[in-house]
Amino acid sequence: MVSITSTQSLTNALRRSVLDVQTQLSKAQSEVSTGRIADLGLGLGAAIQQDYSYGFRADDLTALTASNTIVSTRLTATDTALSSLASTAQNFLQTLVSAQSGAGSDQGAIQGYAQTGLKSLISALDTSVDGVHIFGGVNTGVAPLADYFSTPSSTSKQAVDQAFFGAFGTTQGGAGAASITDQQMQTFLSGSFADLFSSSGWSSDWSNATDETATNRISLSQTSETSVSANESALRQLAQAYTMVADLGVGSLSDPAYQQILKTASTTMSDAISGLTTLRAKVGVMQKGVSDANDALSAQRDMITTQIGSLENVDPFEASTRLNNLTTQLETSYTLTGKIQQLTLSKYI
Amino acid sequence: MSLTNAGAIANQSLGTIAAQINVVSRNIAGVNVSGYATKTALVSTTSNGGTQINGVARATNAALFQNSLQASATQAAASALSSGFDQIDQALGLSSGTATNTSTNRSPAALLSALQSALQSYSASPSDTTVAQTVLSSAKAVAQALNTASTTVQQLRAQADGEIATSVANINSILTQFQQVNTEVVAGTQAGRDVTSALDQRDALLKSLSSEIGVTTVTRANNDMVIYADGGATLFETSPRSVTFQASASYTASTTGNAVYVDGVPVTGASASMPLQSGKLQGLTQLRDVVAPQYQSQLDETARGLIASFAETDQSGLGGSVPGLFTYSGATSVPGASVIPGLAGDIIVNPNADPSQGGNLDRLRDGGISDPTNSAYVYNTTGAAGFTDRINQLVASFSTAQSFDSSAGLGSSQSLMDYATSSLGWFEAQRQQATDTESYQSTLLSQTTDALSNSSGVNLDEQMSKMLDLENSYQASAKLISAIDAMYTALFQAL
Repeated sequence: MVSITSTQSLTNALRRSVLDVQTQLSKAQSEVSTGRIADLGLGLGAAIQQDYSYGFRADDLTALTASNTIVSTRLTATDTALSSLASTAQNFLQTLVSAQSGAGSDQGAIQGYAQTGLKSLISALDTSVDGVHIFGGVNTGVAPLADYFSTPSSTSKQAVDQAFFGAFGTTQGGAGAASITDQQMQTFLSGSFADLFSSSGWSSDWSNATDETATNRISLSQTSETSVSANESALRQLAQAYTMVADLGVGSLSDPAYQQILKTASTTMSDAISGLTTLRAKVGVMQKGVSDANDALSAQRDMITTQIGSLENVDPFEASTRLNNLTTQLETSYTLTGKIQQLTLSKYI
Repeated sequence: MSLTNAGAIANQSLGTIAAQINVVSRNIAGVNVSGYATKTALVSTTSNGGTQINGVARATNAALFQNSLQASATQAAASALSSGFDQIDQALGLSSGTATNTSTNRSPAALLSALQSALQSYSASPSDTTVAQTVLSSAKAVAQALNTASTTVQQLRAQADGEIATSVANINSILTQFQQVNTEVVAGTQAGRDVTSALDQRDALLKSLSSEIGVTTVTRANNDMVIYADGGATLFETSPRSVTFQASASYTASTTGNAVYVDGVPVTGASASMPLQSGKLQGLTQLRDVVAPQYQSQLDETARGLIASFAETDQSGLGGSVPGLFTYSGATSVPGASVIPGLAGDIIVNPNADPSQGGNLDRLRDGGISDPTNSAYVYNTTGAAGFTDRINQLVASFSTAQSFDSSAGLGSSQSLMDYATSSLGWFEAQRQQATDTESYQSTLLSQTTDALSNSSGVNLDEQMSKMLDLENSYQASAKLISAIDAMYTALFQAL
């Protein structure tokens, strides 16, 4: 007997073809609507490792970009604070220089300038961004400097008072102050007074900040310092210059001693100003570093998105053509099933 | 006398045709029965010139039938494996979402990446408790994902174990039925009876047997059949051999499933002397004993890598490292690079960092999570709010190479992030392969089934046209009888 197609295999074949096409159809539908491979795991297999490696890298880049934004905000605030400090300092230096030449040498006014300068220095160094004291080094939870003129006296004020009394046996503006010679004043200013603003003196009496500054990972491979501490020498010198004019009782000193203060204050102040310029340059370098890192991050992310796309995306035209073909095929299968079911000898006998 | 002979022949012919019609109607009844083989009546000439039925033949194709047995066994094995992979994949959401939005993916790797991102944000705002909370909840999500994955894998093993038990019971019941049918075939063949229906039954039983366990058959004298499992163990010879299996009630990572024995010989597992090659049973044991345990090892290694990455070192340089943010109950030191079975199920976020369990979030930044009373493990001794060294260290630990146990199958040295991603890649590669094999074997099976059906199945039209022929022959024979009758009547009237 010649092999003839069995009736069962004929109908089974049709049924299977309909089922098969329907499965493919749902896959094609999902691919057309999302533009991606329907089941990434099945579609990519081992390549999903690569795919998700790219994805995770992109996540890391996004997180870095977000943290860099915070870092940038802080650096901008740092730069603003330093720039206002610099201009105040510049004005104060001019006042000091003109006071030394005798013009407008009102001691009370200069003392007032100095006090304002010191207050603005303290408030600038206490700048906080979202509760983070940006000049605090890593100790960002507390303000680096306390108010010098507060009541009861701040530790810094107490230290200055103590040093003054230790050197001259009298308080600032006290009865014996007028008899201090310029030589004695010079010794005091470069001796026990200067020690108050040395690194160790500053940390014990003035500052809560740490020398260690915040470090942040700003790109995939780069970790760098992202803040300046209130313990920087330029900032200490600023405080030193302001304090010597503001709180050594200039009004009750002899003229030579007063002149000595003005002279030392100008020298210290001009050192501080050049130090500030260096510090601002350092902040500028940090800002540039972060912004360069951001540019690199965004370029890398674009590249990664392209890579992910090349793995996951399907050709939308191919997918929709396939969808159309499958639909046609399914319709044909239905028609065929109907026709073949009709086609039986029993209808004709 | 020739007229009488003619009448006798016509008479015989009616009987023959009736028998043939019987065969045709049996065929028509079997048209939609899978595995029904077309029967043909064997007609021969008798000594008086008439016809008679000598027996009923059954269309067979031994080679195609063997192919179809093999195809259904291989397909069943592939299907068991592939559905196991799909189950894990769906339960854990491993291939959900897309790499451009990894937050939709729930794999351990994706959650690790989320933890790394949270830590990166934390490094920019180490004093912000909201961000610290995000780090903590991301860490919890990672630990939970590993716990869930471990549970799912062990549930799958337990489920496979249960299915093996069902399959074994099924095999035993099929073999018992097989004995009855086989005895009938042998006895019928010896007695010369029509055994074609019994043969159909026997083939159908073989077909269901082969999807449970791969078989090879040998036919002996009198159509007696012997069945061997494809590894060589005897399943049936005159009487069924017992297939035994002791199911395990529950599974942990260190449970080893019991082997299946055929006639007292182990056919699955490491000690199998005649290991199975195909069939559902083989697919299930492969899943239970090889694939799922390997994925479990990878999860355990990921958990161990995580514990090692977050370990805290003694800042005074005296003591060793101890588990920090990630730990497990009874942990005393950081485990070395070898698989600890079930670690993925045991890993937890240290309560010392969790305010809801009496811990302190700041320890994420400052260290000292391992033991708050031991200051040697505190990194930030001053408690400064802007301390980022420890956080930066943790962020870096995700991409620093560390040692892994190579027995888990993913190499021995790579970063934690890469390891977790490799595990995802390994899993999906296996799943893809299993699905491809399954789909190929299904196609092969349906083609083989079609080929077999075409060579031995019933074509309705053919049977109908045969029916018409038989109807005509019947009418002609009946006509002949009445003609002979008329002739005799004419003869008798003439006398």
